Amino acid sequence: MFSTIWFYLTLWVSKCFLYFYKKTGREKDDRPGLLAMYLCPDFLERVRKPKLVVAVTGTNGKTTISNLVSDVLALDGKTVAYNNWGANCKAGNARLFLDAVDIFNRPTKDAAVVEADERLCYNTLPWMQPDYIIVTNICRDSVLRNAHQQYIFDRIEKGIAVVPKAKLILNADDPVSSFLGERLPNQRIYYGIGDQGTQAFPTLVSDFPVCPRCGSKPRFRFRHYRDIGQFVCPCCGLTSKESQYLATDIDLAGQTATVQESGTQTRYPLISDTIFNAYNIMALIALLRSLGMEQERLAAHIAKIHIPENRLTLEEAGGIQLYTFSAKGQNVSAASTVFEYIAKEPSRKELILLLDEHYGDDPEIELITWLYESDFEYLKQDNIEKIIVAGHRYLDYHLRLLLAGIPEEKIVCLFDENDILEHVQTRGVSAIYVLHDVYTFSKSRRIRDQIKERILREQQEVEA
Amino acid sequence: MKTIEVLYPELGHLYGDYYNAAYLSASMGEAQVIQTSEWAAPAFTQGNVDVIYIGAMSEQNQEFALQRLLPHREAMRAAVEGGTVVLATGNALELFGSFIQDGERELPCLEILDFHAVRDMDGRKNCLFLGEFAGEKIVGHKGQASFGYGLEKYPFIQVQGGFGSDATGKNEGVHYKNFFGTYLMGPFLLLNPYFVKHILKILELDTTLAYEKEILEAYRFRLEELTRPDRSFALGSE
Repeated sequence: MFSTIWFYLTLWVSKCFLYFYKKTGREKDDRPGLLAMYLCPDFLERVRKPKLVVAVTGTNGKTTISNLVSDVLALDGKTVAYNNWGANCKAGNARLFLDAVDIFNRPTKDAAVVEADERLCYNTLPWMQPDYIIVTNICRDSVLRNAHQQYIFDRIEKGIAVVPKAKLILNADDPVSSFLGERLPNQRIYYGIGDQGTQAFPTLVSDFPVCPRCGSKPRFRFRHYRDIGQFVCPCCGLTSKESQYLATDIDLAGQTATVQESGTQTRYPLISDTIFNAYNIMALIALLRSLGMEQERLAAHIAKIHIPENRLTLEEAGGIQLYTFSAKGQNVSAASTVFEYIAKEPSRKELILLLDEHYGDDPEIELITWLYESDFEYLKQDNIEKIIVAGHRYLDYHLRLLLAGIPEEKIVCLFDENDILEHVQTRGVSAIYVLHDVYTFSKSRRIRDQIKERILREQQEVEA
Repeated sequence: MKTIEVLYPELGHLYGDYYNAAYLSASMGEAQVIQTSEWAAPAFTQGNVDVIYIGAMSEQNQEFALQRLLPHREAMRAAVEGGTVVLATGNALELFGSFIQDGERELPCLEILDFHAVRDMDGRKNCLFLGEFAGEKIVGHKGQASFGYGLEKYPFIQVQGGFGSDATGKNEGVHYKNFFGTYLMGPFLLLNPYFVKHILKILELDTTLAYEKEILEAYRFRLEELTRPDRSFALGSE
């Protein structure tokens, strides 16, 4: 009895805080959730959930997919609780559900889309009681947080084991996460992309080096990037899962895909020209089709949604395309995938890398293991004119880029990010990419704006 | 020409360890690198290998590596006793001890050195690291989900910041003859140019390093950070 009263007191106090934070322009602040968890540690178990709870976890793509799901549900007329700023730990989740009930703990939203940290899944999925769990992929990530793929696989599996009614939406082309739930009663729904004849670059290190069943080297029938594709083990016969939702024909330039499902085919729009975002759309399609949304309606909704701004922006100045592109420091698979995309994109370009993540409170602390797992070798391209790196680990980047075979004259490594602008060369390039980590998005935008300003100023001077 | 054998690169490449052998060979001038994968007979079983390298791996892959190496236990013992340079980074060093304890399971290892390891997947620990070996500072970082016990018989690096092999002590790793094993993970050699010079000296090679100016600059910069008086070595753990 006392604990119930205490929960309600917590709910009311925390809701007051949330109201105050919203009124003072701090909507994207997890502190009301933090307060709820502090006052009532089992707040998340007690707070009632909307009718539909979708959890999104995995290494890469969580925030993008959560945004897309939330946007499509909203376009479909649902009210959705979602932290679109990527708050995926307990305080963020408490903040989300705090906002999804009234003062009597009655759900006020139709759905909640919860981004679940893959490492903490075993702890968070039980109280979320999701109806659907989307697992994007399990790849190499920060060694501090995530150790290795098997470790994360075990963590997610442990979380899934306590929510047997949750349906799993899995990427059939990810040889690691696609094997989740095999020994569990959960229903599994797979999505994937068929062979598109992609010439994926070889990777420095593999995310799926050996067959987990027998330890032999798997053979890939095709790969879209890194180890995302379809494999078979020549020794024990273990093979990739089959997709219920399969993109058979993708036109990345035209940003459309044909998706095959139970013998029918539907043409859907995509949200970018990257294959990894095509996977994000496939996860979205698998979820919403499983929820019963008609194909045409879903396609119409997808045509209206966009990649979150903190993942990709594009502006143009003086004929030069200025991109900010999330590549995530410390995250081997995300960085390498973006490097591959940029290497293949034919424009003559310049890169600015702002990938120091500043782990923890000390800006000097930055592990460099990921530098030697990531494929910086991809950046050795004739059409990449210059690579500017700035941040605390600039000397480590310098050595790494040299070892990757990048000519010394193309490399500029700077301690101070404020010095970047004077090294940017705007002549002879048609694109400038600012690659940033999650935490350096604002910085990347500021640098992009400075470059834009300079280009426009130079243009005016020429015209004058 | 010297020969480096990289054992099971498909298994032991967890945290950028791959580049240790690549950098060592780049600094050795002309060197032959043999990559031994799957069930192929390792080159060291035929002799004529100057350096054997094996890197950090997942626990499952560590067991695959054990299965592959156990049939070659005596050849490996002969290589270690005969003074071949062996470098094992991360949990690869555990393969050379007596056994690995994993809950109720006990996995027999090569028994070349008298120590053992205990896995603790829920007690994973990370730290920045500063230590000393042969009068030179050793820098790096650690992330351990298994811990070595009994390694103090073969002292390698004296811990000055961070934790040792068993998460508490002042010894990090194993040094026996020319065998060097350490839980320091990832690009250990790229972080420690003076240790690379030490190995080159053992191999009686010119000790000029590949990109020597750049690697020494990066090393000194990191060393300065790690020797700052208020430096904390703790990193997020479970």
